[in-house]
Amino acid sequence: MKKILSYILLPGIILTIASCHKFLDVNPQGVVTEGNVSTPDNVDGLVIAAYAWLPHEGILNQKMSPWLADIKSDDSYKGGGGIGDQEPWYQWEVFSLNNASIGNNDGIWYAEYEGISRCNTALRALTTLDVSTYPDKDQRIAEMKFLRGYFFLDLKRWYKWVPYFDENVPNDSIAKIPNRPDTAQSDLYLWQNIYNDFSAAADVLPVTQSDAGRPTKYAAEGEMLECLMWMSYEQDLNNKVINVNTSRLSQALTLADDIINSGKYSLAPDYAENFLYSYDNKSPESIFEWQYSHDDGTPNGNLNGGTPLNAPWWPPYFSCCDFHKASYNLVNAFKVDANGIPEFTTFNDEEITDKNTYFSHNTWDPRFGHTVAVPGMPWKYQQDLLFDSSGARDPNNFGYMNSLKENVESDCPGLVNLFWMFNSKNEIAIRYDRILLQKAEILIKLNREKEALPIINDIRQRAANSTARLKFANGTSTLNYKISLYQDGINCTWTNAFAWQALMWEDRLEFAMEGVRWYDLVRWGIAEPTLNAYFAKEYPRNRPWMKDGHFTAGRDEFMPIPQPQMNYSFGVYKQNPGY
Amino acid sequence: MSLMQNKIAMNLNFIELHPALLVTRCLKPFMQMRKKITALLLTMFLLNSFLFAQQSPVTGKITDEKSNPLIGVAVKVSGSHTGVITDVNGNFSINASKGQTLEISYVGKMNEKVIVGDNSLINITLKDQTGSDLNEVVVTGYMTQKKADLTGAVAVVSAKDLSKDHGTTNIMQSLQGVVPGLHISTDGNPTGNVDVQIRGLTSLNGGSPLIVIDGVPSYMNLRDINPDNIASMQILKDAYSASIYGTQGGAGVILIQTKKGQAGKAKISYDGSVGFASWNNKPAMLNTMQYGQALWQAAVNDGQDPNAVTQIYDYDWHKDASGIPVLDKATPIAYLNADSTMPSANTNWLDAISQNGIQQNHQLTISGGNDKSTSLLSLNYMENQGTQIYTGYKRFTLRVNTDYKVINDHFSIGENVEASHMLVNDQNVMHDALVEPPIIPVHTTDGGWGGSAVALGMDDYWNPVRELTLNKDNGDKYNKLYGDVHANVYLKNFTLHSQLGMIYTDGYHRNIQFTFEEGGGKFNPISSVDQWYWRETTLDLTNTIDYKYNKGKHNLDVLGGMEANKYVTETMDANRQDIAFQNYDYAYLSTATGNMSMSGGGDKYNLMSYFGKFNYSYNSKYLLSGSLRYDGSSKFGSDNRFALFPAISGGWRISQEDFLANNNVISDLKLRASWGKNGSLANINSLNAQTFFAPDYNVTSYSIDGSETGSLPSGFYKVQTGNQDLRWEGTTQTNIGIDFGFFKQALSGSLDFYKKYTDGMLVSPPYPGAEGEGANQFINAADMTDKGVELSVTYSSRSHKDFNYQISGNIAYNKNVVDDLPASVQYSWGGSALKGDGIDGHPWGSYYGFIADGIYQNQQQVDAGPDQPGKGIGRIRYMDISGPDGKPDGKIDYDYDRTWIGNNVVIQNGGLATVVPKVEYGFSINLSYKSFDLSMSWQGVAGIEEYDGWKSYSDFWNVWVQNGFNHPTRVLDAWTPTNTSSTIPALSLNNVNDELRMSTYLIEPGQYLKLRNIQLGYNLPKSFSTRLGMERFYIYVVAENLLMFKSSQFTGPDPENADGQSYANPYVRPQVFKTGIEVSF
Repeated sequence: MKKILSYILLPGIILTIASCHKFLDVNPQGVVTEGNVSTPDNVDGLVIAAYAWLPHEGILNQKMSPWLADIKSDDSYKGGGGIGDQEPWYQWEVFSLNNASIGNNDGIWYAEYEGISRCNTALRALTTLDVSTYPDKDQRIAEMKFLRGYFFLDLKRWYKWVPYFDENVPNDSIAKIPNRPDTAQSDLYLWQNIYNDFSAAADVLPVTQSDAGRPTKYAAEGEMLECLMWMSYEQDLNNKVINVNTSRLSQALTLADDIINSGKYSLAPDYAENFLYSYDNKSPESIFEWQYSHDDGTPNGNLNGGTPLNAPWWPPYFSCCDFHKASYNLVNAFKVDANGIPEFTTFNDEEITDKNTYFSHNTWDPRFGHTVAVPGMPWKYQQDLLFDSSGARDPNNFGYMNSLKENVESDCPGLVNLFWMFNSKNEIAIRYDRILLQKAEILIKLNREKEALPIINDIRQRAANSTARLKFANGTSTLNYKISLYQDGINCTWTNAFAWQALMWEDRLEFAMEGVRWYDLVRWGIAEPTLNAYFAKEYPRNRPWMKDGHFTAGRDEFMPIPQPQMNYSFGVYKQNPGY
Repeated sequence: MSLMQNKIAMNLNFIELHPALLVTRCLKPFMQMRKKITALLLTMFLLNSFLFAQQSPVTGKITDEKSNPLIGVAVKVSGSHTGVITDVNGNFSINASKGQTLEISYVGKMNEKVIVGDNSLINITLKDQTGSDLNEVVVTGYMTQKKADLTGAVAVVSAKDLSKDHGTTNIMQSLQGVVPGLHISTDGNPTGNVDVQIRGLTSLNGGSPLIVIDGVPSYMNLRDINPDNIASMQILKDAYSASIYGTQGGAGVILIQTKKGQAGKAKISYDGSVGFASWNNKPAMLNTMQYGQALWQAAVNDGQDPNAVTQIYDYDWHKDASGIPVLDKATPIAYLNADSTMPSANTNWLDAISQNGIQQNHQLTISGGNDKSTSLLSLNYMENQGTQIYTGYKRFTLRVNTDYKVINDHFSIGENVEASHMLVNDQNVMHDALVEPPIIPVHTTDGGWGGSAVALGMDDYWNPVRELTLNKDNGDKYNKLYGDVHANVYLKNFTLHSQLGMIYTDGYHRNIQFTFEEGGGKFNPISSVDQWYWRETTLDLTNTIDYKYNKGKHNLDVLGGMEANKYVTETMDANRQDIAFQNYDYAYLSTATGNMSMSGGGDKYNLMSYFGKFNYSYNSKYLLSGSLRYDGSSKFGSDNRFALFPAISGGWRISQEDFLANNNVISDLKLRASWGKNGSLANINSLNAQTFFAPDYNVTSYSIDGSETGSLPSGFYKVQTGNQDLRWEGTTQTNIGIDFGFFKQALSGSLDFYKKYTDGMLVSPPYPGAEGEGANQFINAADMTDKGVELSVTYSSRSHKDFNYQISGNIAYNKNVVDDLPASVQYSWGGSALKGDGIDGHPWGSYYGFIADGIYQNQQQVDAGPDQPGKGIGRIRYMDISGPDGKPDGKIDYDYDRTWIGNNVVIQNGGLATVVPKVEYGFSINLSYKSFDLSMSWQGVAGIEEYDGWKSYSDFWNVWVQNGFNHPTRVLDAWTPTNTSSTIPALSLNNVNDELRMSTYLIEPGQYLKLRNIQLGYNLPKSFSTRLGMERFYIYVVAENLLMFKSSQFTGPDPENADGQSYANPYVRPQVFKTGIEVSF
């Protein structure tokens, strides 16, 4: 009987072993391989995913949202529910507490490279396709290079020394690329690489796109211009600006002119149109715009993940979270003198002892009403909704002045209340007024300040024209707004030095609370004196947390390479100086 | 689809899934042969019955020690499959020939063996089981063994231990402290959250033991099983015992046998208990005036004007002659909102969320049968309400177990099936209730909800009573159907066993998110309905052949088998906003009108195994066992799909040696040793080895054409980089043990030493961010060792007098060390690269932090102290332990001044941390006097340092992000210039000194000793119960967690549930009081 059994069982077992390994071949569920998606039918999916990267990033430890740069400048306080609320931001706001292990730093590095890897994945797939089967090939490659350049530009301005590579570097070699090679005498090679991506994109991209979200030739040129602006102010290895390179400035001027002369863009009649949900893709000033949407099939919409904390703490209109508050210094900077000219040297002397007196007795650049929410005045042009002081979450530390530009009206269809206040207002990333002011900056640096004067005045004229929305319900102006054009020999002497001061001021006001100020300070090499003066004056204004505010030149111009990245690189990366 | 089509589709599906059929398909050439086999088997049965034809009937009566007849006692001829059951008078009749041995076994009695002599009448008295019964048959993987012959470390949970369970949600909750080396962590949530670790920690990925119920393996949540249906449990702790389960046995195995029908007349029994759970160790919280006082103190400590920092209190205060601020009067604001519907209150939020949770359990069992078939049917309803209002767990179960013997006992077939329906509301608002300021009323005066006064500067809190109340009917429901169909063929020495097991679970909910507005301004404007469906199925086919050989002094048992296991799961979840009528009769996806989001997914994996095992004993003295398992899993990389897991063990029963034969003291002495290898794939998912991209509309869609609304184009993103070398985590374990028994087993126990080494633990190392999205890759890398000792001892009185007692105790020690980590993850779990002190050499999960060195008392001390941003008078002083040169550098920094401060294994489990103690012990005492019995079991842990999350609430005004939390009253004793002896730092509105940082300040000794269970019972004398028509009537009262002893240095409410990080505070275990009856007819 045993024999019989062995006859039955043994072959059975052997056969089972031999032929049933395929029982273990179970296909993974709900996923695809890189090969599956690198086809003409699916490659658009990789391209779209690259665009989708930035909008889907969240603000905490991920997205390099422009306003984060503001809190390092003299424009803005962190805000929120106390200094412990997102403490890393407080630490970098006061600089002296910043270090490589700080929170909310590694995530930005990590996330920007995620965006870059989406571009590189798409580029690898695109290059394998044939134009005959995929006619959009070159266009899409150009778009991906534009996006890659955009993400690298974010990284470069924030960290200075970052590992650069393109889609041809295999994944397992990326870890071996240093952020700062021993041979590097300057960071110009990094700028050049980023510039090259934009340049390659500009060569291919059309002047207009049928899809509003895709970059045009001029968007690419706008970014080339931005690169050249940085490359012109050459820094040494200690972040000190040691030379202003006029040949690069001349090159930049050509690009600015190319954009301006295209005739495609003009200043919006009202400055407000750059910051209104209802003007998504409608501002004549918009050169490249991040697209946000709602009611789009996703649970809450593809909303701007960078700004949900920035609405006031103001139920029932907004629930959260009162971050990004205008500094005392910035509010003062919007005051103008009796002639409608900035108070270049005395602006910050005034203390707010009585809020009503302060606002009613001063005269203001109209852009103030577009930039800062003041209790007692309409919220975001809503004449029937006066902002009030209960919208301030921690007024003892951060005061009462909220940021307006990234916020929306309380009844905006694009406002999504998830306790965090998200909105689907588009974010204009490259704007014509910036191109104009960059051109003015170039001209002044090339000692052609006379030519800069009409440009700056165009900007000021438009600001002067932008008061229609700054009214109470009864039609009276919310503040005494006044702004004059610079008239050489009449209200100023338009020397090169004056022109430079005027330009810096214009830049600060025009782009206040938009994340531009900080980069300008670093680019111009004036961050250290500006910020230390700011801390000295601001701290006694009941800002106890500014006690530790101190900027160290040669260190604080750039963020430290995140300590985790230092660790994972096993010595390939070098820490930024001073950290 | 018509019903018919549906059925066909299901059948087709079944063919796909059924591994048995799959095997059959593989054996196509043998299909013909199958018929022949059937014919052959039939022939063999006939042959067999012929062979035993010369046997004659043996009859007898079986009684207990008090001469009462025992009904349903199994009587079996040794080495055969002939067996009968005693009738109502305790009589039996069985065919046996002279020289054959009869084995007599009965639950609760010592087994007996009688050799059939010339006399055909055999009367037997069975003794009560006391102490350890060496003849007890223990289920080991796929086989059974006598306890005396065990060579591995197998713990048997006795019927007595199991009987202490009276309606706990999860059987493991009643086993704390019962089995040495079995660490069970649980909290007070009524839904029975449990984490089980056998012998320290098997994997840094956690690793739960495999659960094998009636032979069907799974990683089932034991919460889903009705504990009243469990007849016995075995815990396989060493590698030899568990390695027969191969890649599934790495973290140990828990074998569960369900109760089976007993032959004899139908027996109906009812076990029921009712009682309540109450939260006895509530922390004392600040009331409204105390809150105002503490807030004032924090403000003046910071040098701020207290009246400027709050709009809620108005303070009259002054500075005394020495400049110390003194509070004269704190006046709370009259109303907290502009509508004046929220007057200032004095709410104890912990009381407001608490209740005495009703607990009840009702079990009805009907069992019966004869020598050809037995069956058991049980019905159970269990409800455990939580100590937080509206939380709780309900379970309905139905179990049917039947067994049939056919063709002269040569073939048996049976099934075990349990069906259950569960309702879970596992809300835990402990955090919300802890932090909500007492001044807020639960309700507004107009009947609405009170809440955080946002316009007065209060932060972001939710009214916890509102949370619990609105969600009282939300929750998950589960249906579970599990069990097996099995058949055995007995052919002389062979037993062929085939079993098809299935575990099917589905879960669903339809939850409403209600809109609400709290009086202080917090609101939710969006209503939505969420419908979720999930199901998972495990099919398991096991075929074994067992061969038993007895000749002379040789005793051999060999087993071979194969097992195929198939797992499939699918889930779907959809959520839609805006429901016009917020009630469950109306709210469905299709009646909601707003935004909809949907998600769904699935997973599949298969396991294919072949195994063999043998147990050999020579003269009952020398024991040798070995096993081998060859496992393949679809989860692993194609280059590493199969693995071999060997194990071997040996034993020497010294007590059987001649030189101890006549020893009156030593009744049992056995030395045993085992070695084996196991794997673990519990925490490895079926995609871990693959490189893949995934579409995800929520991650990869973009409005490229600028449209504000409407459907968007979407794409794919890289999720992971694959690793075709990926394999199981390996565990190698060596065990040396001694089993001993003295004075005829009155005193017995065992002592085990083990060393467990886990290698190739799965890690997904961090990588330079530059590698981009999806660069994460799983590798087998980290290694870890557990070493430990386990001792258990039981003493039973052997008198047959009125008074009897049994005392048993156990203690286990385990030390865990992470041996080796790949460089890429060296500092992922703490440690500083600059100091070079990674977690290797320390237990997994140890804390890395600063040493708190008291409180700065005065400015001189502050000035003299090391450079520490935020330091000041009344603040915690951290210790400067090192610097870049390896010695203190006068500066407190994260790179050099942190060290390993807690040396226990910590497992992160669902957001809360579980600390595994180094020492765990338990003891129980059972007393009986006449009809009364009293039992108690104690459990304790020692050698434990843990993070006391409660302390971050009780010792600081504000270290968390949000402002103005309420706090336990400990804050009132904080350091002030006049209260300098306090160890609690001065209150401050801000956390400039970063005192939430991990430091010894937050680490506390977590040892405790708890009276887990104390029960007093009374058995109605038989004369009474019989008159009432009952076979038994037992009534008892029981209390759980009645007493606790803890270290005075532990400041939280309960060291067992100490963790409270990340804005989630644990559900502390309640006391439970119950009374119940057990009746059988």
